[in-house]
Amino acid sequence: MALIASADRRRFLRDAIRVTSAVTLGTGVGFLAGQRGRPQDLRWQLDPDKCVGCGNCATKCVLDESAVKAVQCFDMCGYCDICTGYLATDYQQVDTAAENQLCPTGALVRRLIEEQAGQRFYEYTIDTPLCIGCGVCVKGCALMNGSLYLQVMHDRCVNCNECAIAVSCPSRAFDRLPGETPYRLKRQALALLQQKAAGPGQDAARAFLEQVYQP
Amino acid sequence: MRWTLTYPTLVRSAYVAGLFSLVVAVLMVLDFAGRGKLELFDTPEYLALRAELRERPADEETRQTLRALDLHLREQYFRNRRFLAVGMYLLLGGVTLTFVFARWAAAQRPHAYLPGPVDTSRDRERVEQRAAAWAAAGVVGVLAMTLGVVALRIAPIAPPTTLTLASDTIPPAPLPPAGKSDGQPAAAPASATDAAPAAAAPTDAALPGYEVYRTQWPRFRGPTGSGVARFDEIPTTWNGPAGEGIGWKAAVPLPGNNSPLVWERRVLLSGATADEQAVFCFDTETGELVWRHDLPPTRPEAGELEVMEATGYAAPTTATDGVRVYAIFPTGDLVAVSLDGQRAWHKYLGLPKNSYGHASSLATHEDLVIVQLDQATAQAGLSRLLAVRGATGEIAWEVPRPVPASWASPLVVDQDGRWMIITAVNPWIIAYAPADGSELWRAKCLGGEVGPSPVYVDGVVYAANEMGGFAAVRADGTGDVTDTHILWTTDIDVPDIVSPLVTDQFVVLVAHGMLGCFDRAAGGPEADPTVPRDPLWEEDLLAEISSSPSQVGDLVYVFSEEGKAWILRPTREACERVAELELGEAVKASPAFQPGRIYVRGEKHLYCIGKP
Amino acid sequence: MKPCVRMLIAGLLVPLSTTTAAAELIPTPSFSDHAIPTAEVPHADPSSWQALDVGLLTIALVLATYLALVRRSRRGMLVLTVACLVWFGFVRHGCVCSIGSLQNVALACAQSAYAVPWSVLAFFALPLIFTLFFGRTFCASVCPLGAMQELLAVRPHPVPRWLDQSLGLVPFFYLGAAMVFAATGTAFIICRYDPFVAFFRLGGNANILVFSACVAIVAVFVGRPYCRYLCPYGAVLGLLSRVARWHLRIVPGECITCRLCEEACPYGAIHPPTVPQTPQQRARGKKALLGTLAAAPLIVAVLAWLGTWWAVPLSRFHPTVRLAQQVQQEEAGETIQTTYASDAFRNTGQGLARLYDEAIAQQQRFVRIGGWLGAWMGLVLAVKLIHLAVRRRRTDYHPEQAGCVSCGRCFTSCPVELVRLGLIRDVSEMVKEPAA
Repeated sequence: MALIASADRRRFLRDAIRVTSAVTLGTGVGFLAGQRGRPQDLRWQLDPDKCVGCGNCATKCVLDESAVKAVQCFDMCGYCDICTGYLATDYQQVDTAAENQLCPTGALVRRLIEEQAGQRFYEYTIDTPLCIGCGVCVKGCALMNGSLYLQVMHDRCVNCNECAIAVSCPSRAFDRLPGETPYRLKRQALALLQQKAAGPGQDAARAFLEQVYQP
Repeated sequence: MRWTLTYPTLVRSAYVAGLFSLVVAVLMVLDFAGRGKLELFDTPEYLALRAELRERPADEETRQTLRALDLHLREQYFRNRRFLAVGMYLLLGGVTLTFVFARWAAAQRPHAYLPGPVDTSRDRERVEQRAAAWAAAGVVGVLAMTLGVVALRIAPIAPPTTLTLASDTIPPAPLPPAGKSDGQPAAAPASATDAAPAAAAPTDAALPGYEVYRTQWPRFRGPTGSGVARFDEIPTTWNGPAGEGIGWKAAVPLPGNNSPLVWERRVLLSGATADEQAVFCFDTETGELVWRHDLPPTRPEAGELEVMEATGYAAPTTATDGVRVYAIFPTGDLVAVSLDGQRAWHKYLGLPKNSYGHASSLATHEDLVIVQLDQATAQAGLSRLLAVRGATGEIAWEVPRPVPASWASPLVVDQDGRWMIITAVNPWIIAYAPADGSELWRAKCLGGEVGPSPVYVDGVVYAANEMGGFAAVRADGTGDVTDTHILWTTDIDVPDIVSPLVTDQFVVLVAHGMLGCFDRAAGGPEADPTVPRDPLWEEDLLAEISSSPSQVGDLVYVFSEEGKAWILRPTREACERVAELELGEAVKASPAFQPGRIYVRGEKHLYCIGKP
Repeated sequence: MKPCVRMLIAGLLVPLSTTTAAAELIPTPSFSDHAIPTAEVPHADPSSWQALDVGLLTIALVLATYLALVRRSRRGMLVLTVACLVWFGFVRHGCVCSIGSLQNVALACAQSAYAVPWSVLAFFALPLIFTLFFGRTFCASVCPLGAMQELLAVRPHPVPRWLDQSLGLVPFFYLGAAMVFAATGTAFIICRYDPFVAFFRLGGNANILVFSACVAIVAVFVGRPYCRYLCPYGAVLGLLSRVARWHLRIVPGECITCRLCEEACPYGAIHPPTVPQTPQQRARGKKALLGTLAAAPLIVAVLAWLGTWWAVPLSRFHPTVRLAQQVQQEEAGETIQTTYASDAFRNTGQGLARLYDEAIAQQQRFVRIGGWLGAWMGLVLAVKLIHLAVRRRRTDYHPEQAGCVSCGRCFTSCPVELVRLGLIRDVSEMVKEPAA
């Protein structure tokens, strides 16, 4: 008799706890879900204006081949002949020889565009599959226009809950951006790109801008 | 259909798959460990080749080797990456197979459990629960203790009052306002506790006057920068290996080509390697290292700061104003350390663009520290002359100079009441006013990569460099004095490193062990200063000499890289060798003097020659 | 040659963009027949993937529950386990997982500026709700970490009960620490020390790979070591599972106490029936319980006090404090080597005083946080001790609901189940002499 009563009591207690827990959980989750008006799908990205080019991006990513790679903002580039992002500081000749190149993997491709008034203009393009995100070119380029910058590439990024590069970033340049606009531009580049996209026939620029977070 | 594989088959298969996984795993670990941190361009072999090519740019063989190695490294890098990716899949497959077989085998031989008899006499539950209670308390105890021990071992971040302080970014509140420091002694800090280190940041009032300054050895080549010691009882004989005449000998913890300073009981010098930089203070009486102040190098990206081996990481000689000692390193770090070893401030001037490594020594004038920061090429526009306030580290003034890198040290001299900073660089000697950095005069007479520092004696500046020649220039001009103030020049025995020595009658130049002695006097009014003057005599010491000569009375002291030293007495006719002595250690730095003593920095040791 | 020589050599590690001001850019040339291209960046996964994940999670939970409680199919559960491991683990790289979502929720609760994505919220809440009603079916075959360990458990050996019970407290401490670090925005330690995520991504930091390998090897010989002795989410699920309405049972019907399942559980969730106590024993037990109850507040208080002493090591997880420590050591000349972080900090030109102030404020904050953490540890210990002092009566074989992960390994050892499956005709085929 006492046994049954005790079992009943226990069952009642459990039911009560279960219902209370379920209600609490429901309320809590409902409250958190109800915080509207803020982006939901978040992606890691770094701010090139804060980046110091330390090289952690190449080594700290959980992926063996980092998700961070360099991007060239052509509209900020001076198309220099003597490119400080392309040439090693102790270069001997302005050519594509290994000893004169800064990029450790040869991912920066140099191409002559035009010669104007004795001045040669070269275009520098990132060969993305070769890029390891070490940021050497970014640091070099920062001496001039700074058109090269690093970005988290979202075809590679697995969007860890805690980004290992963000944890080790010395200038805390990483944060999360809305999933629809998961890229950043330097402030200067953003202005240039907006100007460019306003022009006719600039679909590529407009498409690019659509992916860029514009505060 | 149902597969029937026997237990032994499955176990064997599991072992085979396991072995395979193990082999893959070991290979991957080996690959990973072998890769380590040396990837691509960090390999020592590559860096060495690169340095070699920089030294000898024309060497086609090195170039080809470098290119081949570069290609090899890149291929290896990507092969490693591919290997790791493929290896991971192989490993995953292997491990999966291992476990499939192992689980299968385990299922083939179910664990037939036959319960034994129940022992109702023992209350297992009770025993277990009690043990569990103790164990739980134990786990919590161990965790709490571990955290506690860790807590005791880590020092908390202390409030900055107990810190040695101080960065250039903290406004040092109790220091005198910048405008007041022109000779006007400022009030001492109101409360010593607010001024983090009261001892480390004394005010200008504490600066000893020039009368004291000139009795010390406070900068490269003495108070006037001329290498002339007006002290008595300077030793004239010693033997380093035998220990004769050596007061003491102390190991200097870090290498450096800078010369020692002497201020009262302190011998000051700096040393550095690629990873360490420090200022050292030795006791003049005992040779004991009184203090060492470390300054972590403001890290240039690996390989970016490259100094020539001959220059080293601590070529510039320090300078002291009697309150603080100032040191600059090729990393661009400028630091002020009080004479008792506390840091007053640190300033990062940016990595000097200098192909050999920054070597220009510091100078002081009143409360200013003078930094000749010439870099890169003239077109680069990076060269500048700075005056930094010794008390605070703030920049008093800064003048850009359209000149390339130089390695000569600035000189601060009193030209009949007009103070001037004299700098030697390709192609000018330029004089500036210490008050505001305005240019006083300049003379075009040098060339190449200027290494020897200028000397000022009796209203005349003597400067030299191997490429441009030697010139004696009157210092009383204004504007461009190239055509009017050059007294005489020469192109014989002109040094590339060693600074000139100017005695009462002679100018002694030392080029690679060859001494050239010239008449110091200016030519007659009709003499053409551009016609190179011939030496009175030449003397070949058959030695490699980087240390600048010094003068004591009528004697000239010269130290060589072979560890030898000569004491010479120059006359109009010949060079009298008074003594040829042995120190036993290579000397590249210039000696410092004190009554009765010579302080010489060898490759590894600091020597006090004379009575201990 | 270009005027390359407008080089602005600035200090290293200065934010790279500030070295050139807007006016100083070398203009992009205009070419006669070359249009300046625009960079292309790859698109991110559309957010529909997350909806898919949540959908699959729900389906997997329903399926796991159905297979465990209704179908009682160990085989079906194994298939589901493998499927979930492949999808949530290897395909989706194990992120976001329910275990990690604890931290997002804690952060969202503490800082209103952080809005937790709804998919993360779903990953957090769904397993909890299922557990509340059906037990830990999530652990059995949905969680990729659980699935991994389930499949690795080839030769699980029983862990002595005293050890099992005491180590079982660690997840609660880990939970407390993880919540505190997440809520203060310090670190997501659960993610940082995830045991299998390196496998899922086929690569990672060497230390984590070693840790993963160790956990994996231990998991072969000890059943689910991470789930039982570390997993903070498992700790929460264990609590909720205690009150589950419909929990997995060993026997499909009435237990005949044949004792054949006694050692069937590799996770130590099956306990034998208890022997009746003598009145003296009962009295002594009551006294012990009263003593523990009286000591409980003391335990909590002592640990809370101890906790305030852990502020320094705990605060070292905070990046600002770590930076301040580094800078302080550099300033004091204790370390020669600067770090990228300290260099970057110096180059921002911010005052040291402010950094120290911030770091000291954080440290102060961790005195309080350490106190709470200590109190939490004390509370967990006290509850555990009370729990151990209470004598429960068991008459037949049922899995202990907190520890049972509903994996169904015990099914085949039950003769009643075998009869149900039609593998034997009668219970007596296995039970030679029915237990007394």
